[in-house]
Amino acid sequence: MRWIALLAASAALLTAAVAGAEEDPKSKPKRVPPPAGIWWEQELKTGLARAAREGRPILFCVNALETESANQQLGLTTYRTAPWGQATRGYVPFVCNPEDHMTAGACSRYERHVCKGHQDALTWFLKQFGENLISPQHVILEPDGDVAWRKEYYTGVITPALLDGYLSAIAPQIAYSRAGIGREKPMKQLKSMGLETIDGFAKTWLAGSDGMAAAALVNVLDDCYDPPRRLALIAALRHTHDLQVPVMRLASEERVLYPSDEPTETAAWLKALFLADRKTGVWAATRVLVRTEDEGTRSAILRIWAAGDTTAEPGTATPGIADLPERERPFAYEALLLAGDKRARRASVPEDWTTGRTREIARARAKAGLTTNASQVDLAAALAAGRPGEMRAALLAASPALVRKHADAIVEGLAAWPAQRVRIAGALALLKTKDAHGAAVLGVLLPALADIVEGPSTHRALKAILGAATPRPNASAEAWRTALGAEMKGGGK
Amino acid sequence: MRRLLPLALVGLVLGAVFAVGAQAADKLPDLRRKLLEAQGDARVGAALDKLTATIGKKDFFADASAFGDWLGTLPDGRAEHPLVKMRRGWAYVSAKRGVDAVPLLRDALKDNPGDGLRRAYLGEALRQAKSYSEAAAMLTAAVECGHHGKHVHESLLKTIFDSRREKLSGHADDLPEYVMLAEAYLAVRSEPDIHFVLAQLLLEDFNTYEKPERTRGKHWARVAGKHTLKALRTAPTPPAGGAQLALDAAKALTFLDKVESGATDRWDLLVQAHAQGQDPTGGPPKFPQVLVYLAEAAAREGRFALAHDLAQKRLEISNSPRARRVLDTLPPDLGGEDEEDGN
Repeated sequence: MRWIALLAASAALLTAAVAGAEEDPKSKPKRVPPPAGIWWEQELKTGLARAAREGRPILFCVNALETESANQQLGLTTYRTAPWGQATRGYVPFVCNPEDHMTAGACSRYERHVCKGHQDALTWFLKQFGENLISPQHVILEPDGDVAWRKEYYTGVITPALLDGYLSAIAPQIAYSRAGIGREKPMKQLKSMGLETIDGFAKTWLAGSDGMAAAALVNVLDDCYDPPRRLALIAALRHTHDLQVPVMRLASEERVLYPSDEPTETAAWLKALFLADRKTGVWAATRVLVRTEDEGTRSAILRIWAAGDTTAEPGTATPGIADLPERERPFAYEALLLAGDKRARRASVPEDWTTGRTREIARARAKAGLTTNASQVDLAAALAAGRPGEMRAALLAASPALVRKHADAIVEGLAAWPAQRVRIAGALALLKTKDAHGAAVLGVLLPALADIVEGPSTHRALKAILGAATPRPNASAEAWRTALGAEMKGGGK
Repeated sequence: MRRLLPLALVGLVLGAVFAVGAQAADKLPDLRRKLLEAQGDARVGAALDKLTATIGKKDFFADASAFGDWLGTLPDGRAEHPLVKMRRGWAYVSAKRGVDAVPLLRDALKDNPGDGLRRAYLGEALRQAKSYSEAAAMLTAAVECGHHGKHVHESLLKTIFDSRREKLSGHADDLPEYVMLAEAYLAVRSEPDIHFVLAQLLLEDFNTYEKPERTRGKHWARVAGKHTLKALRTAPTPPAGGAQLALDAAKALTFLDKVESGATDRWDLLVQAHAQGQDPTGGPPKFPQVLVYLAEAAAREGRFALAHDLAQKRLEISNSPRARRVLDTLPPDLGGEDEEDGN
């Protein structure tokens, strides 16, 4: 009986507790909604480091003259509005002001902020941009600190749309991930409309003030698995404005670097990129050319490059380097050389191509293989720029006397660059020079292997020389000595 | 028992007398008498040590300054004894009266020019007397004589700071005086933390007073870079703020590096900034932008695959338009699936 009474009492207490929890609103902490406006970064150093770590653009809003009307308008009203808040969520935003407004542990002028934050930000800003301060002023920095945009005074140029545009330009991934917010309606329309209307709709949208329209279009593209619709969406992206082109480039990167996976889409992207931004088009076309095996496809790419479209009928004259705009020809020349295309060999190369792009052409020459009478300069360039495999070919084709001449340069400490010394030392390991230069070779290679930056590439270079006998990257100096000694003794392969 | 009691009383009385006598021996007149009567350097030194131990005690010398003045009043030529002069000089140095100490220590040094300790005291006295270049030279000489105690190190650091506060530079092409006087010392004894401080101060002055394109600016940037490298390469453990210092020094050299086509220490400084900024827990490095600067330098040097790797590493941490710009300048065959074939 006593047990029953106890159970009843417990049940009553539990019921009361549950009822109390439901009824008493004070039992839960009251949730304060975050402010709609800009969420200012509290601490300068932490914020700058976060920007670099997360790849976010940095926004500095100088709001230092509190009695001036534009500063008042911006500081007390504009920065607190939802559009400015939304447009700066992808940024690391700092406000710069020298005054102290601390009340009850928080800044009374800027929401969710402390005064030390805006004071430190101003000090940093003055150090970076000089003592002659104009307020209001807005500066957008890239994550690594380069100035992307700067405007003194407030004339209405900076708007949420402009901030969205610079987010697309500087941090296309973040623009891509944020583009779906607030754009659900047009994105839904784009997904369901007829193919023939996509271009007109996208053109209007991209021509408007939406700084993340291209990012939204790419979102729609990524959700679309219907090939004709995908091609229509890619084609529509040609209306993209300058600031938003990096979003296109990011979206097209896989098709550009792996063109044979989806050749039709690659061609569509090339065409859209050329029409949206010529420079990005050239960037893409050169990379696609190098990675394209057959000459016919390369001709199609050159046709897009030359004419901006693929409308030319098959059988029309095969385009060559001369059909391209003059300033873009060296890029095509280099790409065709690297691809082994005969049009590059046929091209008459003006002098300024070789002086302006010496390094690239030297690289291409190494790829093609040097002749036995290659000059010392050619050889040095090949050694400096070539990959291990190419270096081996270049060395075997070159005169051993010339190689030994460079070897002497190492011994005498004349090779200017660490990398060059490493490569020449590697070359010596290949060319049975143990007696003359063994100590110099090890003296160059062992420190390079331990170097935090040089280490991986030196290891790769030696792997190409030593093959399976290559010690692990963190192997002891003795292991390297043994492996290289054996290679030199054997005289290479 | 009765016979023992008087003996015990006598013992007590004698003990009290001896105790009083011993206490009397610690009084100043007795110590003074002992110093005046002492023969030979060892006894003079011992007497001075006893007196020195009384500084700050009741009924003796209020401070080292008073002790020094008192030594100067000793009669019968005792004040001119080399050890007394040396101790008096030390007392004035301790009391920050370098001007008074300098002539005494100079005299003391004449008796034993090879004594590094005397030179160290004189160096500090000269610093207090604001003869900074002579002070640094004297401290350098002290080290050359084999004396390199902690106080020499501290004296030199103070000399650097004081000299910088006093006078930034002489002629237009010169280094600041504090750098030149410290370099003479460092040539004899290289100390990582002095290199570190020197680099920090010079970079600060470079950023405040100089422009990278001016002759003097170039010179300062180059020297700051050299001291930074020396500081970071020879420090027994990675110094705090090393990555920041290396990055600042590399930034100061940016212009000169372009003019001289990379023949400066900028690359090595960037490598140091990268190495020192590594997160031991495997997180992103302290300064991701260093990877881009290295990538740019590698690309300029024609090391395209390395430039590509470095730019990609930067992009693996986060987005960087600058890293993408580097990738744009590279030959088009880089990137994609054959990256492991790089140089």
